[in-house]
Amino acid sequence: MTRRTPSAPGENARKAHDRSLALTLAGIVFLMPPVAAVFLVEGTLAGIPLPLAAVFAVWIFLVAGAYLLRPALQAAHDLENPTSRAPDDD
Amino acid sequence: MLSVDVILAVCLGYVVLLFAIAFVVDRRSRQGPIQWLQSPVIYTLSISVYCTSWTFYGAVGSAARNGLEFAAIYLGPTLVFVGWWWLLRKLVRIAKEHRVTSIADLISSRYGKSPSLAVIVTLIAVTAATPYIALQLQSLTRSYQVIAGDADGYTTALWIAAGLALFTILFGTRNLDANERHHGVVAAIALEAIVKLLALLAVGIFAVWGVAGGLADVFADVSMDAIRGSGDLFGPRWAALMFLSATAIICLPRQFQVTVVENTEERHLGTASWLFPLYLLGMSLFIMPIAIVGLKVLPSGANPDLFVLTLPLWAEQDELAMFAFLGGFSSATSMVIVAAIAVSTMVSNHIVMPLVLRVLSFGKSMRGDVRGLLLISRRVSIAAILGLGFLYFRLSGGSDALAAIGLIAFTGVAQFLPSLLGGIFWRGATRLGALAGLIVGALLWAYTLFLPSFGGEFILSATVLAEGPWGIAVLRPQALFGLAGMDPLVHAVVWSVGMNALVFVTVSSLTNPDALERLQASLFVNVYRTVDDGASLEATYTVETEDIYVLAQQILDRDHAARLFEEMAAAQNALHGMPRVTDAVIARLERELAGSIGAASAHALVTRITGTQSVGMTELIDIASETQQLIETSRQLTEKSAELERTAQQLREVNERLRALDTQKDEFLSQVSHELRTPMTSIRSFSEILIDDENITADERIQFTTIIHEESRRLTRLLDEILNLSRLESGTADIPLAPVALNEAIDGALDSVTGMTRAGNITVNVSRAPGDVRVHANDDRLRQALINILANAVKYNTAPSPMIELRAVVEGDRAWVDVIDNGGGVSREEASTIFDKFARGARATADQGAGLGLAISRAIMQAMNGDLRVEFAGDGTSFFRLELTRIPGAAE
Repeated sequence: MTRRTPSAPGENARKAHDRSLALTLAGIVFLMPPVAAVFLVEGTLAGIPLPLAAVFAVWIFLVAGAYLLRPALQAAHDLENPTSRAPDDD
Repeated sequence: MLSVDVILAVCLGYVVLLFAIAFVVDRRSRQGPIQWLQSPVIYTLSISVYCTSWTFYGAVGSAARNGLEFAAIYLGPTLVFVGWWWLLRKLVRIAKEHRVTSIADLISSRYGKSPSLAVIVTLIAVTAATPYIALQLQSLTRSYQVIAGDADGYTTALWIAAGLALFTILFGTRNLDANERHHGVVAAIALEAIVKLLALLAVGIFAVWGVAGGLADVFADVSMDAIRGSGDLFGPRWAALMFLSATAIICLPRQFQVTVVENTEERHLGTASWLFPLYLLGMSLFIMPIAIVGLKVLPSGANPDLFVLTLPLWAEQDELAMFAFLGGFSSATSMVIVAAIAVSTMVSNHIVMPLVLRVLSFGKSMRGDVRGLLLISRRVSIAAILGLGFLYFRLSGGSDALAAIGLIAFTGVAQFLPSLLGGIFWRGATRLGALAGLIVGALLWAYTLFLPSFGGEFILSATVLAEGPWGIAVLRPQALFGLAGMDPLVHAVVWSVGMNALVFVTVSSLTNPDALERLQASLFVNVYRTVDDGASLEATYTVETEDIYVLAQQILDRDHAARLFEEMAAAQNALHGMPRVTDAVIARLERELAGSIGAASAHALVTRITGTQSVGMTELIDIASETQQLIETSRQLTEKSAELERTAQQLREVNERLRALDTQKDEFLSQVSHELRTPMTSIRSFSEILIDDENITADERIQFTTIIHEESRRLTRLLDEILNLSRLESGTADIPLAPVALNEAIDGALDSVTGMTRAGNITVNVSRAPGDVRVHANDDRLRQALINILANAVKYNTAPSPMIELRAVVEGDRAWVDVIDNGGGVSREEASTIFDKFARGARATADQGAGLGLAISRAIMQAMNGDLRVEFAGDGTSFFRLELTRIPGAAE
């Protein structure tokens, strides 16, 4: 396991928190009315109806975003909780 | 068609496998932690207990009826997990710090460990869980009936319930883990999670590529209406579903159990944050295709809730059908097991045990019995909850729409949300607020959603549902206060959760928490700010030295803070600049701050700096500024207090003086009366004789008239003296000062008393001032004072060869005239009172004056910026000294 040592751990942690918040808010905005209603259009994407494709696209975007944010957030978590650092799942 | 024997054998084999896994893992975990079991993947799989048979069968049914709407049930939890950093992490931390065992425990603990709150939460949880468990029994029974042909539904359900109760009791209550963790159960439900996902994916793949000709074919002639469904997609109902599902992933007792209570490592949440949404995505991926294909190929009357099973059966794919059945079986059993554990823990801990302990608390040693009692109570609770579920299934006769029951349960547990969120983010939330909110929310939930779900057959009749109780239309359960035209679910969510939150906030703002509530509120809301074991390493301090320097400056003064930080930098061998933030630096800072603001406040401040959460420096400095202001206010108060004390002291002194003066005035009046009375008495007596006695001789008449005359003169003299003294003392006497030749004044005074000295045969020695000494005085008044002192020296001198010495002394800007006689002088006791009015020396006789001479003389001297006092020579003899201000420049 090699852990990239950030130049400013506190700053990076803050950025990770902010991005996590931004991702969650993006999910809420795109999946809740009124914005979600923009997906209600006729048409298909690769054979899949657009509303269905759009909802699943946002879903995949959220999963990917959470996956990409995880290392930074866990580094932030480890920085704050040095005793809980576990090498087995990195 | 599969034979019943094969189905039973496969089911039995699967159940034996689950038992075996649970047993082995449980046994193994007692020897120490199992590495793979504590992985984040297993943790995530256990969270998937969220996907019950409602998902496995019901989601397809929902998609067939309402199109894409089913996705909202999985998108809500997705958002909660994507944003894990903000809510789930705090819940897990709080649960760990406070050894929380259930959501009822958490809410009760937060609000001052309130038993009543725990009971309310438990009752709501049981009420919501019962139909949900019934729903699982129903889907298990129906799926069994579908796959094995018609069997007696209730008997099957009874056997299933009994089997589930046995498994749950065996593995859910094997031991009483302090943290309520069940490793065997977690391993078993992780396996079930994989089975249900693979089964649903397998059926989906079969439907898309086995029955239809790929995705494009599936959606080829699907209308927009099929996607929209009968509901209003992306409208209020969609928002309500998103909200409810997001709430349920935290508030459902079983979700709280697996996500929060069973969590072994906080960082596992990081993996779950993407893996659990991915799992939900996988579960949802083929829901629409299965529904669309099922609607296309299956007979029109087929129940969409069982498409997952009936589609493979229709295509005579018995193995796939069996796998799908196992998937459905896994979904239902894992939910029932975890829900039963979670709810029974709450029932046992918060309802049964308190009652049992109260009943058995009479003189019995409870210690050894408690564990056994607790286990029995858990087991009975599990059996009772499954029994309730079975009873509900039996009585309700099975509802056709699975989704409705799930949503009723979701709305029920959503009542926990205001108290839960308020409890961990808002210090002002109070026990009464939570209690009121929960009760109002639960009652509205029961009235607007739970009871109407029985369709008019339980408590609320069909008439009441249609027209309102007693025909009052505004009280119609599904159009409360005229809020009609709304989806019943949205209506119920708006009223129950909305009013719950409103009442919670309002009552909290109107009530005050007790001491324990305050403490718990602080511990819960600021859970990241506590340093648990002091094992913090240097690298853990995210706070900058500059920040703590600013803090130190706010509390200590600037120079002190600068000196302190220089010393600390020097101790770290840093030649210049700031010290690094280390344990030693923090400890030193705390000690220094304690000197200014007290140990407790200093510790609180420093703990907040060193707390593992990113530090809100602005907030911290605000506190410091407040402290500084308090110190300043306190200092000002101390000064004011001292000033008041001084003023009070002055007032006391003035009062003392006034009292003394008052006493003097009384004494003076009394003495004046006495002095006036003596001559008046004799004047009156002799006048009466002269008036009344006609026989007195001419000599006698002359003698008497002379006495009257003498006494009258004495009276006049006395009154003159009193008047004179009064003027002198009040400062109204006009005594103009001018340079007076001291020697001339002495000679003048001596001339005035020459007659007396000669008559008394008194020797007078004069030692004049050298040269022409001039003093600041009034010539007449100075002579008067001198004459008075000299006259006294003559009058009271009873020595055989009386002698008076007059000596003028000049020193710097002062000049004295000492009057010394050999008549015995004044004693030290007399010296302190001799200048008082009407005071007479020991040598005076009764008729020798009124005792005002010395008082007048001293008043005169003081009016001329001088003084008159009694001095004592080295041999103890006394003399009078008249002191004056000398005018400089005069020739000596």
